[in-house]
Amino acid sequence: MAYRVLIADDSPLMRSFVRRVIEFSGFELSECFEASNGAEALEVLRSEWVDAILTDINMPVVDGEEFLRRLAEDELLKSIPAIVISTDGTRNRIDRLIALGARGYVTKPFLPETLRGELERHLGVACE
Amino acid sequence: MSDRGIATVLAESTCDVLERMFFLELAPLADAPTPRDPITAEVTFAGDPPGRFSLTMEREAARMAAADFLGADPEEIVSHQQDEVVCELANMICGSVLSQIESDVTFRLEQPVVADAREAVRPPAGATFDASIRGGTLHAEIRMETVECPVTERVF
Repeated sequence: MAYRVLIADDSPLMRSFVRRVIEFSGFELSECFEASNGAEALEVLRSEWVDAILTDINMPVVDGEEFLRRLAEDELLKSIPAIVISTDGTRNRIDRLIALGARGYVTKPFLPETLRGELERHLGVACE
Repeated sequence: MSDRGIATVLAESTCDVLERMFFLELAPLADAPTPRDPITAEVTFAGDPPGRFSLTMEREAARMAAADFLGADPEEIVSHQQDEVVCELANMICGSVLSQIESDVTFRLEQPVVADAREAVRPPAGATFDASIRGGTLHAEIRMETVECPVTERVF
């Protein structure tokens, strides 16, 4: 089975990198959507169903925290696993974002298999 | 943590980020060389304590790093992508260092900005790390601001 993933990050460079890492890791990706902030990501989610969301925290307009809040308020969207990708690996920050509804947290720098493992864990993909 | 301790974390974080995210190996340099055609990205951070991080890379090294990061041919990399990659790299190294030395404190990074290395307001010497990578050299520097307690009473 292949999955549809949304990447929200204000850096086009980082979005491109994350997409490449997912493909390189061997994760079964059928379609990848991109958004440069939380507002754009919500706009994408109005018209496209995705299996998982990868989101940055520091973004303009609607940042990662607000994006997670809005996902949690939506009966349909809150079922989509949202995984935060951030440079901030402090315990307080991780706990705060998990409390807001993030299902997972990947700290940069990360290895391709770390990202794949996190995606598969939250999508219930059996380990090979 | 002393500047020496922070310098160790800075060196480890820089190596870790470049190897994991850019698939680049680096060789530490004992002395900071004068960079040719440099790009400098600066990140200001708020926390306890606040401070500033800067990363200077020679343009050719930034081009190679951008090519590795994007999986592109170095010839395809344009100027703004070199700037973006130095900013992204600065953001990652700074975040990694702070997560280790301020692991119980929440900090906030400002957006990295590109500064002209010749005009950039360089922070006073803090912890530094210099290395050579494919295409040139890099110089990373982090300075924590210290807040001096006001002397309200002197007892002699």
